Amino acid sequence: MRSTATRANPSAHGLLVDAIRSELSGEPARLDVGGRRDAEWQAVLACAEWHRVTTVIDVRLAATPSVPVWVNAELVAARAQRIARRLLREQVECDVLRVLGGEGIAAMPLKGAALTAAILPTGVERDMSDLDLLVAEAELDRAHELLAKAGYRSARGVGPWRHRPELLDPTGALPVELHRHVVEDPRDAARWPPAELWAGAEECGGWVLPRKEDLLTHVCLHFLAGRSVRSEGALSQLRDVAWIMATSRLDWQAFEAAARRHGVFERVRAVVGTARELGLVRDGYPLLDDTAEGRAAVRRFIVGRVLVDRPQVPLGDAGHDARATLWWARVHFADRPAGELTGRPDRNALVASRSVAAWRLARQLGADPTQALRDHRTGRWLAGLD
Amino acid sequence: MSAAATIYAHAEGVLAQEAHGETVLLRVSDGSYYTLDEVGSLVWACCDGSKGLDELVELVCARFDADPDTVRRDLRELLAELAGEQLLDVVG
Repeated sequence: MRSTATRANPSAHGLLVDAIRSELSGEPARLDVGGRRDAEWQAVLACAEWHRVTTVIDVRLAATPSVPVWVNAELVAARAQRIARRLLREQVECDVLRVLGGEGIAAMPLKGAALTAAILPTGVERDMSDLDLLVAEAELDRAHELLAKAGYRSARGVGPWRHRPELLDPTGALPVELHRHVVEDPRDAARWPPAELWAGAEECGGWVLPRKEDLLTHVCLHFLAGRSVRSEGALSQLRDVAWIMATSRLDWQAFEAAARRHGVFERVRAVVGTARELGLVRDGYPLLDDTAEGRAAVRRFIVGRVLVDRPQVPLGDAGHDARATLWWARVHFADRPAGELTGRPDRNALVASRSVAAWRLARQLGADPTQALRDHRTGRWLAGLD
Repeated sequence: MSAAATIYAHAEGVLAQEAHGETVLLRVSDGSYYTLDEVGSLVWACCDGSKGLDELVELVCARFDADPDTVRRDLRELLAELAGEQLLDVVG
């Protein structure tokens, strides 16, 4: 994809992607912002907030002379809020690890907390809206109770399978999620036992953190799952992928073998490919799909699901790019054995929503929706809708 | 005790982070946060439990080449405000 850095007035998304590239490469902080009116600057700020990359443009726009004073004032205000949130997160993190550690329960920081501790260089900030910690399944209930006794209170009654219902720190400002796994679905967990995450964990600055391969996989899975319904935070997640790829020396052969065994390879490959198409990850990684069709599909996905700054309609709704949706679904389910989607849709909201998606997609593509639904239930719907 | 002799120190449960010349203070007990400009950041950094108002005024005047009377008046207000928000403790 052509770099947007040379455009006279890059779009809001183009500017954000340029800023992330600039951050990754360590280039001078100034950006080519072109001539913008106030409304366009407002769009840039809103888009950065939506994609959770305000921190990336902050310093770069402050160093760019043609940026209006009011834009920098807004960025300074956002910076203060972000720093306060980080201070709180660090405090809560230490507190939670102390409470759990004091009772002999190991907790492993995930996602943003792990990236901040092990990946991001000094001075590179990452905003975090919550704290994710992995706790051994057998200790989850006890960990939850201990934190409740320490003043953390339940925010929601029901959580997804991968983590316990969210807790809120004593100030009520920071959600804490105790994860049993990093995957969304128990059937994925059957292929990737949580014990493997613990066995591969690395010590870093006195903390136990996921090894880089697992961190990359987790970030990729989270990104792709999130794109089923929305674009919020997409660029921030791709930035995470890019930073892990840029700073970690991974054994790609071993990584691919493990990812295939865990049933997550196609998802990881698709997300790394997405980061590559945006110029955030370099060419040449062996796991990338270099076929023209594969790259074209990723680009359609970027247009429909990534570089969008508003909530997206559910999969398969009219008006959406059906081919991009189909690609997303293919990738999402690619590693699943045929027939696994049969399951019991009544007990699995994800699969149930895909039934609706299959029906709608089939109509959009001119296929027989009844047949599509039947195929979906037998695990063949993706092929049936080609 | 005169205001000039009062000594301030950072209160328990307050976290601070300097960034780009400003300092963000977070009161952990309720998550409230405050921003100090360059002058406020210097004052905050110097409130280490050993300096009184006279020394703080001297430090600020030396750094910013400002009128001592104006600085004294402003610092009194700032210190009172920070103490009122439970960000600073009076320790002497």
